[in-house]
Amino acid sequence: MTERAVQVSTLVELAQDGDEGAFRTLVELHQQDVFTLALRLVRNRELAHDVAQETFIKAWKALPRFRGDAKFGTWIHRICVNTAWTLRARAKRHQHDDLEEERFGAGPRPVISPEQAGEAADLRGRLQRALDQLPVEQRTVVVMKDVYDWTHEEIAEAMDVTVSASKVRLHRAHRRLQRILITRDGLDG
Amino acid sequence: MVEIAKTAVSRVECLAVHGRLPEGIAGSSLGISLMENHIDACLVCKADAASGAVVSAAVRANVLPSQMPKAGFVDGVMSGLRSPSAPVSRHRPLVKVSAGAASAVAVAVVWSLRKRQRTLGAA
Repeated sequence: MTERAVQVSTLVELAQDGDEGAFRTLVELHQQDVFTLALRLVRNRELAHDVAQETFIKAWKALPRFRGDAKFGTWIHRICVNTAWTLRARAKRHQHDDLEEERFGAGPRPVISPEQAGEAADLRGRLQRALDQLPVEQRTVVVMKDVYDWTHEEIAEAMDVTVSASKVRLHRAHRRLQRILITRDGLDG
Repeated sequence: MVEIAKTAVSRVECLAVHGRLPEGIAGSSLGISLMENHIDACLVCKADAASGAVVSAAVRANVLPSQMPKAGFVDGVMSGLRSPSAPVSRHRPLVKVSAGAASAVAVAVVWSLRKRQRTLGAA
């Protein structure tokens, strides 16, 4: 077990005994992961903030039932997906943020030609807009499968749907993304 | 990416999946199961799923980078722990029931008054 895993496991045990200070440290350690997941799912900062906060509050209440058979991080991700899914009606009301500008503004980039950089930025832009256009139930499956490598069984459990429904949503989402990407290229539109 | 996607889109439409399920079945669990079996068995849809892998790779490569929530997030969570856990949901149905009951009683009263008036009028 890594040092961080030991630390998290100790904090979880303390928090399960009602130690709010320990839980606060757990929130500090996982806030970035959970907020990022929420943002990837709902694509609106304000709503992602609410989803992430609600996730931790639900986790605190459910902590006595956490048996430690999954990692705390995985467990809280599951709560986050479930919360985002529960709040999907609100997600539909919120406009998507324009996340494109600042999203890729920081961090190291591979050395590529200006032309390649332009194409890559264009693809990123189109892909993000395509993701914005997906219905929330399809986007959730895409994000959890393609980005977080969840199994369909895990997705189905978090979203309270059947495994078949999860597979079909992924299939439909991929088809839709393909269509949107190609239409944006002016190939068939 | 675009070339592969162009090839994929020509295979995207599979009538066996999208045209032949009766309306009542299309959205049901039976429909979903039929569609899933079809996707596993149909060569066209298998190719479609393979091109889906290209989309997966593109999504993975262009995912939003990790971001921090705004300042005060942790404090917000901690104060949320102490707020009462919304007893609203318990009270709402009671309000609905009493409103419903009140209107039912009102209708019954009006109806019986009218009936009584009619009876008296006839007499």
